[in-house]
Amino acid sequence: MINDYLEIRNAEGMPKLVDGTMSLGFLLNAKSGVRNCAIALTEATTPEVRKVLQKELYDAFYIHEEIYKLMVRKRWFHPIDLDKQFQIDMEASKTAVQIASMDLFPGDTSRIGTFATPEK
Amino acid sequence: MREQYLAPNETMQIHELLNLKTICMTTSKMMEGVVFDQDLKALLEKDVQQSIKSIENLQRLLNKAPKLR
Amino acid sequence: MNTLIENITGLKKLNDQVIATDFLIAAKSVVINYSIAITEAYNPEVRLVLKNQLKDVIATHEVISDYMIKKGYYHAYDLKEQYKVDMKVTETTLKLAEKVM
Repeated sequence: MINDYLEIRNAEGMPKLVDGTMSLGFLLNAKSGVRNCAIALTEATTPEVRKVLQKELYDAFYIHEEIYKLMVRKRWFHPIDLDKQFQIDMEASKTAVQIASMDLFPGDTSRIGTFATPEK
Repeated sequence: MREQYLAPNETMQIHELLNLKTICMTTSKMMEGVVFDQDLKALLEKDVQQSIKSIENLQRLLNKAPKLR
Repeated sequence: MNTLIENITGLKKLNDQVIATDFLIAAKSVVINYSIAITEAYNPEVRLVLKNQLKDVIATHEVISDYMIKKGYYHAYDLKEQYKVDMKVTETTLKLAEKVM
């Protein structure tokens, strides 16, 4: 269990891990965008709605393609070499669990007082 | 009559999609401040710009929502 | 369809409607499954082929749903009317089940 996240030793390899995790989140978002768009398209009956949603769907395919191409190029994602992919997955999830186990935001996180929120 | 309003089912789908797009755009924008790789940041920004256009389109469609109870 | 069953249930009129509905549901799931498959495909060639085929599938879905609206099987804009159609279909189906048993 790591308690000191400011320790330089523990920050080793972090940028790669952060970028990998973030790009994976981005990819998953794009994927669920495609799925939801496809479902919406099958429910569309108005021609204008159909036109807009079909364009949205193909845009979503495009951005999804861009993301996974970048991930492959940067070696965050190995769709062909599954052994390598699983190894990366295991490492990433282990580190994520370690980070999640830390008390990153100790104390009261309500910072309402620092926000300009007039009473209604 | 058919041109004036959308069908109820497609209206709900557009509403779902609008919410999803809004959340995805917000997440992408937040990620931009976290990532190290500048290529990834550029791609995130591209997605944000594309999402803004999508959201405008969906909002325009949602203006034609039927009057439901 | 078997003429005997047609006569007993009066299903002949519903026949086209049943087939069209089945077709519409199939087209829907094809569109969704193609979209999912495209997000899982790594090979650019595969993606291109799937994307091109998806265009045809979407067009098919459009044609069949327009056909159903034109024939009055599908009332996307009028829930009350759709309810009437649905009730009629389920009634016929239940009658059919009774007669067969």
